[in-house]
Amino acid sequence: MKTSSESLDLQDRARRALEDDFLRTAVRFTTERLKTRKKTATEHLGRWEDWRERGRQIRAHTVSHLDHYLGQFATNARKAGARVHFAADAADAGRIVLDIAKQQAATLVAKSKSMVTEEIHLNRHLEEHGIEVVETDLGEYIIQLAGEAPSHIIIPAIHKTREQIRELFAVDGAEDLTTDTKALTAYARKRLRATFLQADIGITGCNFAIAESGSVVLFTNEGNGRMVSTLPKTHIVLMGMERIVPRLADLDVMANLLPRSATGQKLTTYMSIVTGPRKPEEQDGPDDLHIVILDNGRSRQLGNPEFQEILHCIRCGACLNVCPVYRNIGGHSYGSVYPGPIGAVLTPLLQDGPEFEELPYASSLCGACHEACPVKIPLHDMLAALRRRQVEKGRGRRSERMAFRGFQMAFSNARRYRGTLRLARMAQSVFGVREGRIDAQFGALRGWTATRAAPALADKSFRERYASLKQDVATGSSASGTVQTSGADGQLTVGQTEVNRDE
Amino acid sequence: MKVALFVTCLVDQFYPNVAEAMIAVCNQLGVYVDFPEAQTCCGQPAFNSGYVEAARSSALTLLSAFADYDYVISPSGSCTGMIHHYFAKLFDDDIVRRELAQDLACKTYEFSQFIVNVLGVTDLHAAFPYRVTYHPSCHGSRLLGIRDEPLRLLEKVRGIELVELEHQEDCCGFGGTFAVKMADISAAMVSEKVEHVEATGAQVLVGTDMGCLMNIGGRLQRERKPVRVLHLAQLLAEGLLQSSPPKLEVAR
Amino acid sequence: MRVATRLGRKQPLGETPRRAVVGAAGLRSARRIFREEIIARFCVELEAQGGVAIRCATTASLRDELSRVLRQLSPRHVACWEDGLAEAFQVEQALSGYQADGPTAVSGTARKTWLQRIAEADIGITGCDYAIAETGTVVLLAGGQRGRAVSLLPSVHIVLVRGGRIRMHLGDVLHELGHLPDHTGTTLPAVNFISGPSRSSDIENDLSIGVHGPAALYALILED
Repeated sequence: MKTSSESLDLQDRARRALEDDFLRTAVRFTTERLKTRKKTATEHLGRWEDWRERGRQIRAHTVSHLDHYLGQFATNARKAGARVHFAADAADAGRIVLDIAKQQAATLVAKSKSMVTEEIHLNRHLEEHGIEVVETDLGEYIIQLAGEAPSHIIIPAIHKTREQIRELFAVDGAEDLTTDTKALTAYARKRLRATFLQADIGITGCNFAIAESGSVVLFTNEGNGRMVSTLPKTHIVLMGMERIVPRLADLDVMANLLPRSATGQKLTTYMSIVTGPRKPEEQDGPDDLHIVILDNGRSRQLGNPEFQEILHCIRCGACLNVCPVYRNIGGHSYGSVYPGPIGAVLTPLLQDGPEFEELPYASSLCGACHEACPVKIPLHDMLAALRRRQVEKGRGRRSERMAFRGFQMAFSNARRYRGTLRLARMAQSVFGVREGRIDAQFGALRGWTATRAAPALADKSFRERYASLKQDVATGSSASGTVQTSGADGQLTVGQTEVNRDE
Repeated sequence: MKVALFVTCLVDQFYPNVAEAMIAVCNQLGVYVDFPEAQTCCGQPAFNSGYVEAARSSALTLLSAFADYDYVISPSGSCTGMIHHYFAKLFDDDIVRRELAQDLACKTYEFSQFIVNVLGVTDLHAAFPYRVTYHPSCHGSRLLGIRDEPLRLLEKVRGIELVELEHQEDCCGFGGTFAVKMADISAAMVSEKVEHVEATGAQVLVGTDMGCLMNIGGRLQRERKPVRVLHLAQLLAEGLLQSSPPKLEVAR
Repeated sequence: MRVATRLGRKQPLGETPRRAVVGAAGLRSARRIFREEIIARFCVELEAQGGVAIRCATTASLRDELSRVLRQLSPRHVACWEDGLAEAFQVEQALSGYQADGPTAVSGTARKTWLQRIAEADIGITGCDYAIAETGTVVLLAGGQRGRAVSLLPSVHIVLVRGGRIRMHLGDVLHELGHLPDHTGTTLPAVNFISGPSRSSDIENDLSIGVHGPAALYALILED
């Protein structure tokens, strides 16, 4: 599940991203826009919190009865004429798709945007076996030309400038192209139109699957999803096993939550409900419909009270748009297919190895993701739980383990706590305390003091001062004797100049 | 009414005058505030880093320190949120302690919530004639559910000019160990926050969590920006000194 | 099986589990809405999506409006559903002269030729089974002689809408889809919900219209 720049760790990648002004501006602009549009769209709908709660209920009900609904979906999809395959992992899914492609003697595959296919690196697998795969979502096509991974779940090429796009298209064969959006789009339209009509196989993801009808539901704006599911002879759907909702009526709720949360639209331009391949009397539509249902670490989360809810996710990207970490470092810094808060939780859950152990730390646990989530997944709690899991596995850094062992010793008892802090007061003098602050830039504090002043411990802690504090709780007698608050220690006044009180 | 102060480590060790300001405001409203010495830390730094055992052992000190009080008040929405949302879970397998934890959660209030929602006071007759902007801390607002309580207190302050902080809901980048562990990202976040604070032209930044204020204040200080950083309790206590109103008796 | 085990069951759950509420029940106000409001809302929302809504009081005026739009766009070829749509709306006259020859019924190898013909059309004309006022959406059910590509490949999509088929909310349409007389559950036809012309903001957030699908959508609404 790793993407490019593998040799660098999360912090190196983040540092590099922080120095990329275009990236930061673009990400900030885009996320801000999506956030505002979402706000308008949710206000327009009204009772947003009730819709969210209903969405959560539907997802919770489905996931906690996934055994039943998966079975129901597969049965009904087969009744409708689809071929249903279950894939345990990425390799399995790759094999299934390749087999279908070989049966069809396919040489060209047209794809619409799908995070699941990114997750299993399907393109690479097919290309290794001589099959050309073309991404047809405009953003995905751009990053495919660039040989990169998407940096946002909804807007994959968020990080590319129009000049970069023009260059990529020029290498692709475009002549005399300007950087005008219309011109760039027109090139892609013409170039990809041929692909749609020639492709042997169309591959899509699946936003929702309806158990009661065996249908697959796709949301797109450009129309490429419709193209690849309508024009080629064979349509293959890749879906995570948790994509299901029980009934068509439940799609009503999801279709109101997903586009509003993702792009601030009431509904995406196209929503297609596909049930089986084309009927015999139809003029178009695929002859064969294959549905590949992927596990790849998902079922492992079932029955785990801390993490089962991660399967409620509807991949809207709203958590990315509100995340201050994502806004600053962009999607590629995460180094995983799924970026942002959802990626920081989902990736290490799906792939429980040491390579993603840093991800749960890429969050200040501010909870903005939870607040934005249309199905109320407690991502911040899951991040903390993942950190705990790392510690239980002994993966934490040694210095940190020592520090918290010390914390446990000192903080489990008020006397020891008092003693420890008294020692710390003596020790802090080596940090160079000046006017109640520390500027020294070494040791564990360096990350902080490089950019911020750190406060020094007060000369006397509150607990040492409390005994001498006089509390005048009164009965209307006098206004004097209240505690003075302008102590010299524990300075809060910052900046060079005191506020001029006489102005 | 027996009220105890849960001082929190940051205030205890770095900003004792915040606690004193809280007491001053409470005294003004006729509330005496006790300080049970057995308390240490809510355990959040350990808990958020994944060290649950360490969190549990320091959380225990709060369970015993506050068992006999009617109310516990704290200067931090974050530490109060920890008690409200995670203490019962910390002691999931221990019925007695879990009940103690639930009790504690029910009676623990962040400072502004205590004044507004428990004491029912919004006007302290304080005066503070400065341009002020307010940063709502993430844990206070999202986890604990502080809504407009601080603003309702501030709006009643005489002479104050409140200016809204753009993007106020954005995290300042503190996040406890995050600020040290992911220092570059944290620094980028606090720089954004400082830009927004500066854009308000405020003379004073006020908040309800010393973690965030230490972070933003530290950055303001490093950039030599002339903005005072105050906890809400400090602003109110200072405002009381300026106006010297008669003492109120709202609580017994 | 693995899934059931993880969820603490020996066997996958056979019976459909009960739940208190299904779908969006109770989330919308239940007030009675009249047709005029629904049509007006549909037009407003469709135009907000970049579509063009044209209200026609009678079949005669719909025919005139269609002729006017066609004159304006002056297409070389027009593709139209071959399910009796033109006859039903009495627009055969308006279409004559624009339609290209080609196979009407298609099977097997002829499909590519048929698709090619649709791809070369400048305009695709379809009907719709439902429309949704709240989102400015037209809903097309696939079926015999109602090619899916007609609303997809041409640069312009013209859709003929009967006022009585417009519903207020998506939920109303989904409910009716679940109770189609000849379609129960697994025989649901392919359904396409279309809200305005094709769009993308993938290049520096700049909205562009007509990326892969039609660049313009005209809805001619027959009111009576």
